Amino acid sequence: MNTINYLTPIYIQLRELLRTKIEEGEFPPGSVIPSDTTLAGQYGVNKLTARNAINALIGEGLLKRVQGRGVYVLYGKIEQDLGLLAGFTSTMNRNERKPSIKVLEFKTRTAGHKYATIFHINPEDEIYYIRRLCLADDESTSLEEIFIPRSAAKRLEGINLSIFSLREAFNLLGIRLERAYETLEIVEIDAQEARLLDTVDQRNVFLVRYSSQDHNGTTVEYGKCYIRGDKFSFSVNYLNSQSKSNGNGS
Amino acid sequence: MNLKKCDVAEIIECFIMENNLKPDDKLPSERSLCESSGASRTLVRAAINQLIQEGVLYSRIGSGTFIKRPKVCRQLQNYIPFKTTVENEGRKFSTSVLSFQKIESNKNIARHLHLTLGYPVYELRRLRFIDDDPFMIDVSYIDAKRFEKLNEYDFSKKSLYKVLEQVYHTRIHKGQEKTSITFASRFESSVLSIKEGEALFYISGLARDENDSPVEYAKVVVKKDQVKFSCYLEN
Repeated sequence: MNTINYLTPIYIQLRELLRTKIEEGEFPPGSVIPSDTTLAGQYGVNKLTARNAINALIGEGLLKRVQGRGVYVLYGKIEQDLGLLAGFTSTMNRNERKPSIKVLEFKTRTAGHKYATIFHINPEDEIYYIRRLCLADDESTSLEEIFIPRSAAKRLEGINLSIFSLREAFNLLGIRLERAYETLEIVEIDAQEARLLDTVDQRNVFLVRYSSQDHNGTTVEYGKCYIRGDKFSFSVNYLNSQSKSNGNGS
Repeated sequence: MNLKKCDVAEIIECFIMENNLKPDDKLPSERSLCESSGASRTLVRAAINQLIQEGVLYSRIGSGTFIKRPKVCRQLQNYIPFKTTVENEGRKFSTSVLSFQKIESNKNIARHLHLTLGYPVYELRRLRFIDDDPFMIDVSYIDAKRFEKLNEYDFSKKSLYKVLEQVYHTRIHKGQEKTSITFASRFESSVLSIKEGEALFYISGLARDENDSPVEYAKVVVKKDQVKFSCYLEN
């Protein structure tokens, strides 16, 4: 990339000026940038020049034009650290996004063969079923189904899960999660699920399945979560604990 | 009964468990599943499609629907060579080298490897196969001065990390990886035998030695249908 100097075309200079303001936080994610008319007046440039600069950054995916509202600065992806046993809310807070949850369904049902095996209970035992949509800054990010054995979380139905996060609910019930096992796949969801997740044009999403245990080793939750790939990335730190091939112990 | 797609999918999964069906066993016909579950043909078909997407089933046109072999599961936190993971699941792993050349670092490579712009690095591109099906393209960048003559080794037969350890006395101690979703480019689609624009795992990673210095910067794409990743989390 060439350095920007006084000879560079003005719309490129303005483009780079806007880029710097975005990168340095003067125009933070989610905010509306000044209109092309305002920028034109502010920097003494042609309105078309300002438009070109803005359109260039829209093309790069840094900005998004919303009809009737203006031009917004887009968010980067939310990064979930796979090493941490963190719930949705704390991941959002860590990424400085506003979390909100819409509970789509909450019911009690019998476990059936599949969930009886997962929870080591009887197929006739009862489990809770929660289906919910998780949003970050009011944009859909994940669609979840969570199964919890009734025996592990008595009185969960008394807690309003639109107000309390699941982690908070567990805390209130005295359940402490110690460990979890998680798998990550990519799948294509159907039209109805894509509509809920607001990702109708791109149906390939992450599928995360997880099961969490308390300090007694009891599985207290099993979840299946569809997560938008344009909103999330997963990071992990790994260690090479294999013994050295030259025979020395580590 | 007000059945939903997820209920029918669960009924099918329970059927598989109760009857101890194994990979490549055939599932009963759609009609038979409709009768036993009480669900409509449309719902049964949708449930089957979901299970195909999730890697539980696969279908052969004209033959029916069958139980799929589970995806190869790669654990993320303790480094285990992919070859070992695949072979532990009883499958064949092989590699071919797409290209191996010395190039000048661009800003991205230089930043990751803590080198200066234009510094010579090896770019090693490998195609990996599970049971002779291509599933992963691996691109690795390594300091060409520190690891001089690395290009004398045949990485379709040898493991990169083993050569680094045995010849250059550099052992990969730890690293970071970031996973996201990308879409197959023309080159990737032709090499992996998929359609352009199909979704893939995109993993970028940095492997470090015992002194914490960067050794390998890697950019990997993996097909979604054969592989899943797993992780243990602790509080």
